Amino acid sequence: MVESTAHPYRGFIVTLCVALCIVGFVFFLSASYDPSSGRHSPPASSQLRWIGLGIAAAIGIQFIDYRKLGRFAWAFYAGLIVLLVATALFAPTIQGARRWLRFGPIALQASELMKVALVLVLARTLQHVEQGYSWRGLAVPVGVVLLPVAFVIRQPDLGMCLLYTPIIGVMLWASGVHRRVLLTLVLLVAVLAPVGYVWGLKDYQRDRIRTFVAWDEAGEGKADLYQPLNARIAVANGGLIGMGLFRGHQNTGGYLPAKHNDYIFAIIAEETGLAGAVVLLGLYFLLVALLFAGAIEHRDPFGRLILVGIGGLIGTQVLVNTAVASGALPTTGLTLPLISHGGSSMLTTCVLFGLAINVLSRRPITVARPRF
Amino acid sequence: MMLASRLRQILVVFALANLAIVAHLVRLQVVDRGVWVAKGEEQRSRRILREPIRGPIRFADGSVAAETENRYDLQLRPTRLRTVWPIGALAVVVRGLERGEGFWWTVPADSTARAAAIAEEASRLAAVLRYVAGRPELALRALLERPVDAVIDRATCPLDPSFGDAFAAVFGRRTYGRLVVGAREGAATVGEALALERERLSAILDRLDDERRSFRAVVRALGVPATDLVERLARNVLAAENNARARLVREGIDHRIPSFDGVSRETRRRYREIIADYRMRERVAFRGVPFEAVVEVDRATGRGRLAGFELTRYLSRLYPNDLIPQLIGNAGTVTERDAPDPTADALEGRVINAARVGRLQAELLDRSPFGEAERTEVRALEDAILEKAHLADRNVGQAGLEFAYDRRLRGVRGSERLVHLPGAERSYSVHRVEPVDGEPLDLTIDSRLQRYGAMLLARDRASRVGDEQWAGRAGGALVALEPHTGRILALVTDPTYTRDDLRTRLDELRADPAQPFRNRALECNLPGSVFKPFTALWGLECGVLDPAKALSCWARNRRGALPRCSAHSVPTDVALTPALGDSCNAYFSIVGASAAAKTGHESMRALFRRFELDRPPLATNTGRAHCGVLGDWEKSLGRYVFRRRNIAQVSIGQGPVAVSPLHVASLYAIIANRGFHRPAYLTEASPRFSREPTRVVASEHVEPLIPGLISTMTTGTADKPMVRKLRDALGGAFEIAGKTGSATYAGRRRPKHSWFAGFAPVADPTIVVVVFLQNRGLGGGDGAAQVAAAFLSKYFALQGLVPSALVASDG
Repeated sequence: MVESTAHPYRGFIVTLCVALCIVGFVFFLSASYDPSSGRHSPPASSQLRWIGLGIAAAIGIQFIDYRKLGRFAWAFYAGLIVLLVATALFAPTIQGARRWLRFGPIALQASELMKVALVLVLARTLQHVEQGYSWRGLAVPVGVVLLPVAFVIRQPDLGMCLLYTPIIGVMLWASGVHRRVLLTLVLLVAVLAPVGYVWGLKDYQRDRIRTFVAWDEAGEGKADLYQPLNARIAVANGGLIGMGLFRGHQNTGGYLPAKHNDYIFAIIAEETGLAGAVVLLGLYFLLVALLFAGAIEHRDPFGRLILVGIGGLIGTQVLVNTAVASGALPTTGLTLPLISHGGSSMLTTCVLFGLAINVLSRRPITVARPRF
Repeated sequence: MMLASRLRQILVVFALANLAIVAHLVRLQVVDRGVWVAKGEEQRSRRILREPIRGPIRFADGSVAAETENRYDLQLRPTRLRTVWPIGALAVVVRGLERGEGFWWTVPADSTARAAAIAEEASRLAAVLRYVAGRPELALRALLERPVDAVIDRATCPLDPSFGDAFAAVFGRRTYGRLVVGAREGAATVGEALALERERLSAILDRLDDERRSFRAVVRALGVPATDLVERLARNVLAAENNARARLVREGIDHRIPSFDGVSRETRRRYREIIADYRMRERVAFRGVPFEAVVEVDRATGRGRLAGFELTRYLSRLYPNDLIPQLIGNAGTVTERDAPDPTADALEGRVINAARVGRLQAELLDRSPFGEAERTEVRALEDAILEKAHLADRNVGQAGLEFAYDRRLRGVRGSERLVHLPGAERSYSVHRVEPVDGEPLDLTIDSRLQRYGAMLLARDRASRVGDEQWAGRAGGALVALEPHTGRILALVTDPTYTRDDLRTRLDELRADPAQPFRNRALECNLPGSVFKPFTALWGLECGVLDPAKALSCWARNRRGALPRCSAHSVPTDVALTPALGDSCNAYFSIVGASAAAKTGHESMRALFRRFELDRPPLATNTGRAHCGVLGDWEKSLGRYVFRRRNIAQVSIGQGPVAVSPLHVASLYAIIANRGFHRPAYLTEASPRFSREPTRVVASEHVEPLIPGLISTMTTGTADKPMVRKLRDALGGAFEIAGKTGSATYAGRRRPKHSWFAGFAPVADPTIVVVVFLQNRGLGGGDGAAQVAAAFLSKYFALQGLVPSALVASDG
């Protein structure tokens, strides 16, 4: 194989990412503004700092061939498992969850970085898959996902668990696994889900789901429905064209908690309306489609799977986040990639896109036909 | 190819999921938008209820019985002070560092020394607050000299966020981050770590100074020493802390948990609820702040300064002329305490209870000789209460006239919906409904006569010396009304109480054997001889009584089971006029027995009913469950066989008959009106007011009674000093008619009741007066007639018919 020049989609992807970062920063400014004090909380500099750090990481990753990175995938994965163990043991409880490890002034969420490790490890494991993957061979990728899920569910971070699980599905399907195998796995998940609901979830998580499913007007005063209710109100306020930047009632009135991170999509929908929300969803869909298109044209199975994994992960994260932020799903702690405020999330997303650019920049040319 | 097709499948799945999200957005932002926007507006708006001014209750002479006024309360909320008020916040910071603890968990909850510990802690806290309030700049500089590590440790304590909040309130939100950075860079003190530049330090000091001035202005306006205010505040704070901790211990929650790790969600929720609940109780309240002080406080605390001070306006029901609380009743707030069933829905419980309390208190109406129309009105009112949940507010009529005429007095509540748009400085009114004030209720009672009557009865009761056994249980009543109109001019019961007494000596009132809560003007008792004119009317109607014909009185001799006559010492023949004047028992016994023999005792009951003297259920204090006349007595005894003896007893106002002073006044009003009956009423709002006068007895049957009633006053049983004085003062301008009575019961073991009923002037009566002195031990002439004469003197003095010198001061 000989390396060729950069993939033509690379420019589109970079442009889209930069555009999303700019959109994200603008709406961060709107969502973090406190009219009573005239300040931003958290300050705008923190978002800029993390964007800068993310871009630096994405640029830095370009200097290392993704295939070389792949050799360290297992080590990276193992290191993050250790960090997850440390999180379970030493992390302080913040708002009822133990997710962040403090290193001086920096709080690190290992489960966020695990997304990168999972993509790399799964791509490495699945790159040599023949059609009709054996049951025995499935044990490794499934185990690779279940191990961090076991830690993350204890934090508890249901949203992250919901994100990890589809990654393996998408990557297995793309790697050519037999339909019967995937169907069996889906059925297995379907059977295990009720068990997980009863034994894996905490009381308040079950309450939250039950209250959400049985939503009625009388129950709108309940704490579990506070965020979904206010998210729906914010989205509805937007109408077709929105209330204008910095003018959202639910935004400036401070009715929506976590509006600058998990619920920023509700603020975007409130201030730009249906038009803005649909454009944003379209941009994300285009981004995922470009990643998949790059994967189709890529000749290296490892690189292909990395692109598929990143595309699947970003697509799933966007879907879950927008569904939660528009009040269609109960509250989970997932950010909107490249837009929400949050250090670990921004850094991880930038690293993922840096990796995708890395893959697309090193397009191998083969004389033989691809195996699939 | 396979990869491409599979990725396209995944993309289709993503696309479908995206479409589902878009569909959800369309539903929210287009289809159901109105519903959710309305919910948002409701969330951002608040509804303010605008209370109407409850209508006043006024006496006939214009003086006010009940009125509603604006009152102001000022409350100090330490919770707000801690985090918003810089001086208060500074106090928290200073104290927290001195003790190494926050406001919480400083005193042992269960130890026997708890009270002493609270007092000690309160004095310490007060000292710190005083120090800080007096010298904020010194406190601030002292704080800047503190070790930075100690401050960081305190600020990170998860149990007590008040320290961190307070620190932020003094120095700003980002100060804690600077502290941490400064500490890492080697700063030793807070001042070094913060590196406050001169301008910022100066701004903080200016703000503290401004707060101190405002605080002093508030204290000056309230007229309370600053030290008292601070100490009350400190005491409340500490008491709330300790009560909260004791509550936590009682509920099995570890009050010293270092963090919420491993603590169930329910426990955490309960922990927060208890603390929030008790923090609300820390407030210091100043009730009834004068309006001038309100203006000063508002000026000092305006524009967001001294945020812990809150002024609240409310409507207060005042009773400036507290003459007859048993009748006027009261209006007040229906509270949780009134709820009959704590498990019931709170609001419903309150409303039901309002009806229940009102119904009990409204026995006034049931006991009175008021008609069925009033009772229907009260029942309808109760139904309205049950229907209208808005009763759970202040100024709901709960008893007496306040309850009976609540609908009229209360008015209609208004409301206003205020929407606060984000970023706007003030809220906007989007829907305003003005309240409609309650209508006034004008009583027929003249407060001057009422006050004078109360004074006369109280003076008479006080004059009972040497009768300790009964004097303590004695009471009395005085009723005056205009016979032509039915207007009740005075309705006095004695002993009585004031609303201040309810606050200061309620237990004493409850234990008082004279039972001051009773309204004796509406309670039934044996009438004695004041009932004899009724017997005469009965006899005249039946045709068994010839006024000119003399009957033989057997004096004190026994005549079978008939009562003896105490008026005549030797057997003699008497006609109607001297029989009334001397109050001859034998004469009226014969009349009653003859009438019963001719027409049966049912005719007596029919007349009784026609005069509206039979209004069951009428409570009595004669030991009988029922009263009225005859019928209920028969019913209650079942096997009772009505005999001549009982008719004779009833004929002289003894035995099975009981009427209230208001009943007797109605009877004498009929006589004064020469047979016309005009129902007595207290207010023109009463349906009784609109009833037309009806003739209940022929005038030719009434006229023969008048000379006898006049002779009672001139030569008969009422010819006593006070009556003579009044007669002399009137100088023959007109005559007074009346009848005395003394009722004996319980086998003569108790002192007899003293009665007087009369009217004046005889030719064209303007007033009927009835006096009842319970267990007075005197005859009607010596007891009740004297009081009635004094009362009539006042009445005629007000009319300018007798010199006011005849009237005693009612002060």
